[in-house]
Amino acid sequence: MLTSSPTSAQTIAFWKYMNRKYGTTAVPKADAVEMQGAAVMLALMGVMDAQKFLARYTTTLGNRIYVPFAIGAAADCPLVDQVGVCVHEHVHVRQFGSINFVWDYCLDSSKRATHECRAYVASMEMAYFFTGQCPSPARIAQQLAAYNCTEDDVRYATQFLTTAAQIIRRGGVVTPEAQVAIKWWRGSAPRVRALRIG
Amino acid sequence: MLALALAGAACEECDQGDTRCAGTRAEICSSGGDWELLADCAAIEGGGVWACCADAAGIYTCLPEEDCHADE
Repeated sequence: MLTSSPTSAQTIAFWKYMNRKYGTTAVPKADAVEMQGAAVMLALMGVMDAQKFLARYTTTLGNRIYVPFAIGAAADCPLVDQVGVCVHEHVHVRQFGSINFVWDYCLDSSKRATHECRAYVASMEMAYFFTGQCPSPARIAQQLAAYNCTEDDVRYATQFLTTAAQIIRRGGVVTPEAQVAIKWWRGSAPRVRALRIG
Repeated sequence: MLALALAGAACEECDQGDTRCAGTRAEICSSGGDWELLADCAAIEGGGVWACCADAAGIYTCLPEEDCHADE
Protein backbone atom coordinates (compact mmCIF):
# COMPACT_ATOMS: atom_id res chain seq x y z
CA MET A 1 0.00 0.00 0.00
CA LEU A 2 1.42 3.35 -0.98
CA THR A 3 1.84 5.96 1.68
CA SER A 4 2.87 9.59 1.48
CA SER A 5 4.43 9.69 4.94
CA PRO A 6 7.61 8.07 6.22
CA THR A 7 7.43 5.71 9.17
CA SER A 8 9.28 6.17 12.43
CA ALA A 9 11.76 3.43 11.53
CA GLN A 10 12.37 4.92 8.08
CA THR A 11 12.95 8.36 9.55
CA ILE A 12 15.49 7.00 12.03
CA ALA A 13 17.22 5.00 9.28
CA PHE A 14 17.33 8.06 7.03
CA TRP A 15 18.92 10.25 9.67
CA LYS A 16 21.52 7.54 10.31
CA TYR A 17 22.25 7.31 6.60
CA MET A 18 22.76 11.06 6.27
CA ASN A 19 24.91 11.13 9.41
CA ARG A 20 27.15 8.40 8.00
CA LYS A 21 27.32 9.91 4.53
CA TYR A 22 28.23 13.42 5.67
CA GLY A 23 30.11 12.58 8.86
CA THR A 24 27.57 14.30 11.07
CA THR A 25 26.12 13.56 14.50
CA ALA A 26 22.59 14.26 15.73
CA VAL A 27 22.62 15.55 19.32
CA PRO A 28 19.60 16.15 21.58
CA LYS A 29 19.57 19.91 21.97
CA ALA A 30 18.34 19.87 25.56
CA ASP A 31 21.43 17.92 26.64
CA ALA A 32 23.98 20.22 25.03
CA VAL A 33 25.73 22.80 27.21
CA GLU A 34 27.15 24.46 24.12
CA MET A 35 23.62 25.17 22.94
CA GLN A 36 22.90 27.09 26.13
CA GLY A 37 25.92 29.23 25.33
CA ALA A 38 24.89 29.65 21.71
CA ALA A 39 21.42 30.75 22.82
CA VAL A 40 22.92 33.49 24.98
CA MET A 41 25.27 34.61 22.20
CA LEU A 42 22.56 34.76 19.55
CA ALA A 43 20.28 36.69 21.91
CA LEU A 44 23.05 39.19 22.69
CA MET A 45 23.74 39.62 18.96
CA GLY A 46 20.06 40.23 18.38
CA VAL A 47 19.70 37.27 16.03
CA MET A 48 17.09 35.28 17.94
CA ASP A 49 15.27 34.94 21.25
CA ALA A 50 17.10 32.42 23.44
CA GLN A 51 14.09 30.37 24.56
CA LYS A 52 12.71 30.12 21.05
CA PHE A 53 16.14 29.09 19.80
CA LEU A 54 16.39 26.23 22.28
CA ALA A 55 12.85 24.89 22.04
CA ARG A 56 11.84 25.26 18.42
CA TYR A 57 14.87 25.29 16.18
CA THR A 58 17.30 22.66 15.04
CA THR A 59 20.82 24.07 15.02
CA THR A 60 23.95 22.99 13.23
CA LEU A 61 27.47 23.76 14.38
CA GLY A 62 30.07 22.27 12.09
CA ASN A 63 29.14 18.60 11.78
CA ARG A 64 26.94 18.45 14.89
CA ILE A 65 23.20 18.82 14.43
CA TYR A 66 21.31 19.72 17.60
CA VAL A 67 17.70 18.58 17.41
CA PRO A 68 14.86 19.71 19.72
CA PHE A 69 12.89 16.53 19.01
CA ALA A 70 13.43 12.78 19.37
CA ILE A 71 14.19 11.46 15.88
CA GLY A 72 11.42 9.08 14.88
CA ALA A 73 8.96 10.39 17.50
CA ALA A 74 6.01 11.74 15.52
CA ALA A 75 4.50 13.27 18.67
CA ASP A 76 7.50 15.60 18.92
CA CYS A 77 7.51 16.68 15.30
CA PRO A 78 5.79 15.30 12.17
CA LEU A 79 8.02 12.71 10.54
CA VAL A 80 7.91 14.41 7.13
CA ASP A 81 9.19 17.56 8.82
CA GLN A 82 11.93 15.58 10.57
CA VAL A 83 13.12 14.39 7.17
CA GLY A 84 12.99 17.92 5.78
CA VAL A 85 14.91 19.25 8.77
CA CYS A 86 17.59 16.61 8.26
CA VAL A 87 18.19 17.67 4.68
CA HIS A 88 17.94 21.39 5.54
CA GLU A 89 20.58 21.07 8.25
CA HIS A 90 22.94 19.12 6.02
CA VAL A 91 22.92 22.09 3.66
CA HIS A 92 24.20 24.13 6.60
CA VAL A 93 26.85 21.45 7.26
CA ARG A 94 28.14 22.09 3.74
CA GLN A 95 27.98 25.85 4.28
CA PHE A 96 30.22 25.52 7.32
CA GLY A 97 32.90 24.47 4.88
CA SER A 98 33.10 28.06 3.69
CA ILE A 99 35.61 30.15 5.61
CA ASN A 100 33.28 33.18 5.81
CA PHE A 101 30.11 31.34 6.74
CA VAL A 102 29.98 31.92 10.50
CA TRP A 103 30.96 35.58 10.17
CA ASP A 104 28.47 36.21 7.36
CA TYR A 105 25.66 34.32 9.06
CA CYS A 106 25.98 36.01 12.43
CA LEU A 107 26.77 39.54 11.33
CA ASP A 108 25.09 40.13 7.96
CA SER A 109 21.32 39.66 7.78
CA SER A 110 21.32 39.60 3.97
CA LYS A 111 23.92 36.81 3.92
CA ARG A 112 21.99 35.02 6.68
CA ALA A 113 18.88 35.19 4.51
CA THR A 114 20.78 33.77 1.53
CA HIS A 115 22.19 30.87 3.53
CA GLU A 116 18.79 30.06 4.99
CA CYS A 117 17.13 30.32 1.57
CA ARG A 118 19.47 27.70 0.17
CA ALA A 119 18.60 25.38 3.06
CA TYR A 120 14.89 26.19 2.74
CA VAL A 121 15.02 25.15 -0.91
CA ALA A 122 16.10 21.70 0.29
CA SER A 123 13.19 21.61 2.75
CA MET A 124 10.81 22.56 -0.06
CA GLU A 125 12.23 19.87 -2.31
CA MET A 126 11.67 17.20 0.34
CA ALA A 127 8.14 18.45 1.07
CA TYR A 128 7.35 18.30 -2.65
CA PHE A 129 8.81 14.81 -2.88
CA PHE A 130 6.55 13.48 -0.13
CA THR A 131 3.38 15.46 -0.74
CA GLY A 132 3.40 16.71 -4.32
CA GLN A 133 2.84 20.18 -2.89
CA CYS A 134 5.38 22.97 -2.61
CA PRO A 135 5.17 24.96 0.65
CA SER A 136 4.37 28.65 0.36
CA PRO A 137 7.58 30.60 -0.40
CA ALA A 138 6.16 33.72 1.23
CA ARG A 139 5.28 31.88 4.42
CA ILE A 140 8.73 30.32 4.62
CA ALA A 141 10.46 33.63 3.92
CA GLN A 142 8.47 35.29 6.71
CA GLN A 143 10.16 32.93 9.17
CA LEU A 144 13.34 34.93 8.64
CA ALA A 145 11.86 37.67 10.77
CA ALA A 146 12.65 35.41 13.74
CA TYR A 147 16.28 35.45 12.59
CA ASN A 148 16.44 39.24 12.92
CA CYS A 149 16.29 39.70 9.17
CA THR A 150 14.90 42.93 7.75
CA GLU A 151 11.81 43.45 5.63
CA ASP A 152 14.10 43.83 2.61
CA ASP A 153 15.70 40.49 3.48
CA VAL A 154 12.27 38.85 3.67
CA ARG A 155 11.25 40.34 0.31
CA TYR A 156 14.47 39.07 -1.23
CA ALA A 157 13.96 35.65 0.31
CA THR A 158 10.40 35.52 -1.01
CA GLN A 159 11.65 36.15 -4.53
CA PHE A 160 14.47 33.62 -4.11
CA LEU A 161 12.14 30.89 -2.87
CA THR A 162 9.40 31.70 -5.38
CA THR A 163 11.86 31.26 -8.23
CA ALA A 164 13.16 28.03 -6.71
CA ALA A 165 9.59 26.75 -6.26
CA GLN A 166 9.00 27.12 -9.98
CA ILE A 167 11.95 24.81 -10.63
CA ILE A 168 10.75 22.34 -7.99
CA ARG A 169 7.21 22.19 -9.39
CA ARG A 170 8.64 21.28 -12.78
CA GLY A 171 10.42 18.30 -11.28
CA GLY A 172 13.86 19.77 -10.75
CA VAL A 173 15.94 19.13 -7.64
CA VAL A 174 18.51 21.88 -7.10
CA THR A 175 20.14 21.04 -3.79
CA PRO A 176 22.84 18.33 -3.69
CA GLU A 177 21.73 17.12 -0.28
CA ALA A 178 18.11 16.78 -1.45
CA GLN A 179 19.34 14.87 -4.51
CA VAL A 180 21.12 12.42 -2.20
CA ALA A 181 18.12 12.15 0.10
CA ILE A 182 15.63 11.49 -2.68
CA LYS A 183 17.84 8.75 -4.11
CA TRP A 184 17.89 7.11 -0.68
CA TRP A 185 14.11 7.31 -0.27
CA ARG A 186 13.53 5.90 -3.73
CA GLY A 187 15.90 3.02 -3.08
CA SER A 188 15.22 2.25 0.56
CA ALA A 189 11.58 3.15 1.00
CA PRO A 190 9.85 2.67 -2.37
CA ARG A 191 6.44 2.49 -0.73
CA VAL A 192 6.68 6.18 0.11
CA ARG A 193 4.75 8.02 -2.54
CA ALA A 194 7.08 9.99 -4.71
CA LEU A 195 6.86 11.98 -7.86
CA ARG A 196 8.73 10.72 -10.84
CA ILE A 197 11.71 12.84 -11.73
CA GLY A 198 13.59 12.64 -14.98
CA MET B 1 43.46 51.25 -15.77
CA LEU B 2 43.77 47.52 -15.17
CA ALA B 3 43.66 48.08 -11.41
CA LEU B 4 40.54 50.22 -11.78
CA ALA B 5 38.91 47.59 -14.02
CA LEU B 6 39.67 44.86 -11.49
CA ALA B 7 38.35 47.01 -8.65
CA GLY B 8 35.17 47.64 -10.58
CA ALA B 9 34.66 43.92 -11.18
CA ALA B 10 35.27 43.07 -7.53
CA CYS B 11 32.79 45.72 -6.37
CA GLU B 12 30.02 44.87 -8.86
CA GLU B 13 26.74 45.89 -7.29
CA CYS B 14 23.17 45.23 -8.23
CA ASP B 15 19.67 46.25 -7.24
CA GLN B 16 17.65 43.91 -5.06
CA GLY B 17 15.45 41.74 -7.20
CA ASP B 18 17.65 41.85 -10.30
CA THR B 19 18.33 38.46 -11.84
CA ARG B 20 20.85 37.28 -14.41
CA CYS B 21 22.43 34.26 -16.00
CA ALA B 22 26.16 33.75 -15.53
CA GLY B 23 26.86 30.77 -17.76
CA THR B 24 24.76 27.97 -16.32
CA ARG B 25 24.24 29.84 -13.05
CA ALA B 26 20.98 31.63 -12.29
CA GLU B 27 21.81 34.50 -9.96
CA ILE B 28 19.69 36.90 -7.95
CA CYS B 29 20.57 40.21 -6.36
CA SER B 30 20.26 40.04 -2.59
CA SER B 31 18.97 42.60 -0.14
CA GLY B 32 22.62 43.40 0.50
CA GLY B 33 23.21 44.32 -3.15
CA ASP B 34 25.30 41.23 -3.91
CA TRP B 35 24.87 38.74 -6.71
CA GLU B 36 24.02 35.39 -5.12
CA LEU B 37 23.71 31.97 -6.71
CA LEU B 38 20.11 30.80 -6.90
CA ALA B 39 20.77 27.58 -8.81
CA ASP B 40 23.34 26.02 -11.10
CA CYS B 41 21.07 24.89 -13.92
CA ALA B 42 23.61 22.31 -15.11
CA ALA B 43 23.52 20.58 -11.72
CA ILE B 44 19.74 20.22 -11.42
CA GLU B 45 18.52 16.64 -11.34
CA GLY B 46 15.14 15.62 -12.66
CA GLY B 47 12.77 17.34 -15.03
CA GLY B 48 15.04 16.94 -18.06
CA VAL B 49 17.90 19.18 -19.15
CA TRP B 50 17.93 22.68 -17.68
CA ALA B 51 19.41 25.92 -18.94
CA CYS B 52 19.53 29.49 -17.69
CA CYS B 53 17.42 32.02 -19.54
CA ALA B 54 14.63 34.56 -19.02
CA ASP B 55 11.14 33.32 -18.34
CA ALA B 56 7.96 34.90 -19.68
CA ALA B 57 8.12 37.57 -16.96
CA GLY B 58 11.72 38.43 -17.82
CA ILE B 59 13.12 36.76 -14.69
CA TYR B 60 16.40 34.97 -15.33
CA THR B 61 16.11 31.48 -13.91
CA CYS B 62 16.61 27.81 -14.71
CA LEU B 63 14.10 26.48 -17.20
CA PRO B 64 13.82 23.23 -19.14
CA GLU B 65 16.12 23.57 -22.12
CA GLU B 66 13.30 23.34 -24.64
CA ASP B 67 11.62 26.34 -23.02
CA CYS B 68 14.80 28.36 -23.25
CA HIS B 69 15.06 27.76 -26.94
CA ALA B 70 11.34 28.31 -27.58
CA ASP B 71 11.85 31.96 -28.42
CA GLU B 72 14.85 31.43 -30.67
